[in-house]
Amino acid sequence: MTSSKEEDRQIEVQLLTRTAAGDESAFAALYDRFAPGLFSMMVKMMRDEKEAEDVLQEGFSQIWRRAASYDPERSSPFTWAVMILRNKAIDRLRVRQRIERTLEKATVEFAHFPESDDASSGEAERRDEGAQVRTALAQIPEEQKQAVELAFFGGLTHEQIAEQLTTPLGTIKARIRRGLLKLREVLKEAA
Amino acid sequence: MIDETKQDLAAEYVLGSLDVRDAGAFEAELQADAELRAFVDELRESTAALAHAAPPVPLPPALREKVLASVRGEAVAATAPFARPQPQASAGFGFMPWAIAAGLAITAAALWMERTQLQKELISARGEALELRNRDEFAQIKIATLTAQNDAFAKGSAIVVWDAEKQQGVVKLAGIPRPPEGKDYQLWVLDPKSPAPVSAGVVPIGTDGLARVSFTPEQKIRSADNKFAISVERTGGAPAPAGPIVFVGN
Repeated sequence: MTSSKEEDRQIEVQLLTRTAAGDESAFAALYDRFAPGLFSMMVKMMRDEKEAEDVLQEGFSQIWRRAASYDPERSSPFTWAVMILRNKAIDRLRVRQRIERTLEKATVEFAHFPESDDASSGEAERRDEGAQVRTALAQIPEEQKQAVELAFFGGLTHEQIAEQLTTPLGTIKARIRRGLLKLREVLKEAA
Repeated sequence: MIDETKQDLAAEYVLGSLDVRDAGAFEAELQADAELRAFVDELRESTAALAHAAPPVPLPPALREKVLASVRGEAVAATAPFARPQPQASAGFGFMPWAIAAGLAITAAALWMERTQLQKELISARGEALELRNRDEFAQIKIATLTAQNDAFAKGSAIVVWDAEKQQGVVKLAGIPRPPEGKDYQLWVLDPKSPAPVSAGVVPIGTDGLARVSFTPEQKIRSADNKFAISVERTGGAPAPAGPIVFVGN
């Protein structure tokens, strides 16, 4: 880990410690550090800015309430925050999937709807912190990257990915495992 | 050395792919296996770094105050700061008398057994909760087919699927004419327990006359006996319905 990254981590641990003690200014400073990146991630996951805002708000409320349970020996503060928000997003995505399945059934039952295309998001300039991750992702074979991204950003289970890609579950498990291990290896080397 | 099956499980655990029962069982394994725990921690760290790969989207400036206001005055959890997992057995007791060491070992064994039992009970309870949740999965979902209120929309279709518990829904429209210049279609929830219709946002129509939009109403919907309506409002939506209602139903 580079020294500036280590310094950042120490600062963020301190901010979480103070947040756990009820310090609202520390919580605001954490928001300023984490929210821009987390919001982009939420938009990518939810594909809807309003829903991304809702998830971000719910996630930060949980960070506030659960700051005392953070263990600095198990993860960095950023990783801890990512996992909290990602879990919130996945909860919503699964509700959305359930509603959409019901909608499909209702559509068949009550009316005839032609299929509509989802809007796809365009490429945009990315942040500096993302450079390492993008470089790492570029070194992962495409099929592994696709499976990892469907799991991480799409919130899909391994079974759902296997179904979506019409690929055996064992193959999907292996792709995700290899993809994550490669990502870990490349990020370690870069650090 | 962690075998591939365990690595697969670790990846599924980190990504949140395991169901509640399997995740509970894996957590119990983690408690007992320091090497696996370290592997999972590393994997979680590199997985979370994927967040940086999302294309940057500007953060709405007003959101900061909304988030800070939501926690203002709210007490933080009373958990001890930075609670750590239970320490694993140490390599030796050094200067401690053997009798104390033996006593501690017995106590530790008893605690371990108690904890293992508790973990089993927890896993079982989680499994039961999951089954209950799955059984009731569709209980709170409502399907509303909306009826056109004038001839211009008679060939159109509008369906709303609403999950009252999660306060989320999806509206799907087809065969709907494009709104007039400077106007949008807006979805409303008519909640008998609210004094006024609650906005659920605008519904943009594609050039093909189709729309499929997820929504969360601006206020909590408290009644199960609610209706939905779509009206024509100014671009971006209105705080209260002012334009003609084109669809309504429950």
